[in-house]
Amino acid sequence: MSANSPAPNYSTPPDVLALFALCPLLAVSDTLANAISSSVAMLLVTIGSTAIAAFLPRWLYDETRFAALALIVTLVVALLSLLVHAWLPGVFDALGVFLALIVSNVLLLVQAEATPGAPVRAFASAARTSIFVIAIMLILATGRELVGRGSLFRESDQAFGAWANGLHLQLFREDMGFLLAVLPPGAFIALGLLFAATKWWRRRLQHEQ
Amino acid sequence: MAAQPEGADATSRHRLLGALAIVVLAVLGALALGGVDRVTHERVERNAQEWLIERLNLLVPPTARDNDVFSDKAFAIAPDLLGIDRPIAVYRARKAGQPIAAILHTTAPDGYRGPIELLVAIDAKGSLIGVQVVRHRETPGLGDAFENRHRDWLPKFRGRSLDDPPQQRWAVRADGGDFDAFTGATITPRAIVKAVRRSLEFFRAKRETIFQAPNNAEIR
Repeated sequence: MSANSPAPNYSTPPDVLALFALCPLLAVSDTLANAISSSVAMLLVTIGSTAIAAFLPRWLYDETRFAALALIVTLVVALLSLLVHAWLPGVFDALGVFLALIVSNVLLLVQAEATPGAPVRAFASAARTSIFVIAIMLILATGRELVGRGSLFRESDQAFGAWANGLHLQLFREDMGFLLAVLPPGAFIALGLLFAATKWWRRRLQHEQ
Repeated sequence: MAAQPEGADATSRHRLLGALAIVVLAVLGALALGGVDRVTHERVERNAQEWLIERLNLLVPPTARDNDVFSDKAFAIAPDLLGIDRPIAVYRARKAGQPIAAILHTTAPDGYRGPIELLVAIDAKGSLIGVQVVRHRETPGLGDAFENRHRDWLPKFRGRSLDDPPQQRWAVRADGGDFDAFTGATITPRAIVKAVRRSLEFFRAKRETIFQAPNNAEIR
């Protein structure tokens, strides 16, 4: 049974994988509202795709399996964007092309985690990586929105309804913000700073021991 | 089903099964997508409509007119005047039967990142009430929020007409005209100024027909 579909031995460490999975989403970490809605979308797509992929027959070849996974992830993203377009038009406009781009990062996750015959493990592992990705997205968005626009939770009523207007916090005038933080390169710079900070923190902990 | 492929025969049978699985998956997926599209299509249309009505109301508020501006529309087909081949919706605002304003749902075809859809509102005397950007293909985060970042640019059209500035100066400053471009971008302002000027020219040429044409009629 396992002769033609051995358990794939992907040795990519989970945080490097998460980093790759993060890249297509980085650009929409410009505000907290965008980061939350794209993260939730990604989580839904991951859950949906892993659930459907669990029904794939075990005897599929690796190549066929990959094609099938690609089909499943694309399908789930297409369904999700139809629903978002209909019921959350504000989110649809804000995320634009990045909603469709979720295909690439989820496919990466699902492909690496899909161990034929172990749906629960695949599920747990995909969920863990997604949560890691979401945490980074939220940290980046908080920093970028604060530095770039001087606000937190701006325009979050588009995603969560009118009550979210109460969350909006404006610390200084929007045009006093640092524009680079809002533009896509700012996402990579912020990510680099985040890595530097975690490294520094780890090293400090080591020194203390 | 869990066959151990032994020999070429088993392998090719296995491949066939794999292909079949993909086909079945694709058909099921297509059915699901079709179903969801049927459910959402109407709502998406309705959202777009509501959004457009909101914009029309911003340009010509309901207090300034007494007709339903969204359904009082005709279609302009004037490639020579407007520079666009397809029909363009012209919404008409009236009060007590008198024309108040016309709103052209036109397109600036030569924007930096492709066509920019505009609403150009012109009052009965031929002066601009306002210009709104309806849709433009831009990457979020990359030069987006054109309306937000250049908030004071579009309102500058208000009150302008073909006599103010004179027709030959209806261009961005870089082209010897009267309109500022914004920093780092000339292409988009140039495209918008041109589309607005063309709308005004169309209005001047067809003013009578615009307001007399029956609902959903074509203006040529």
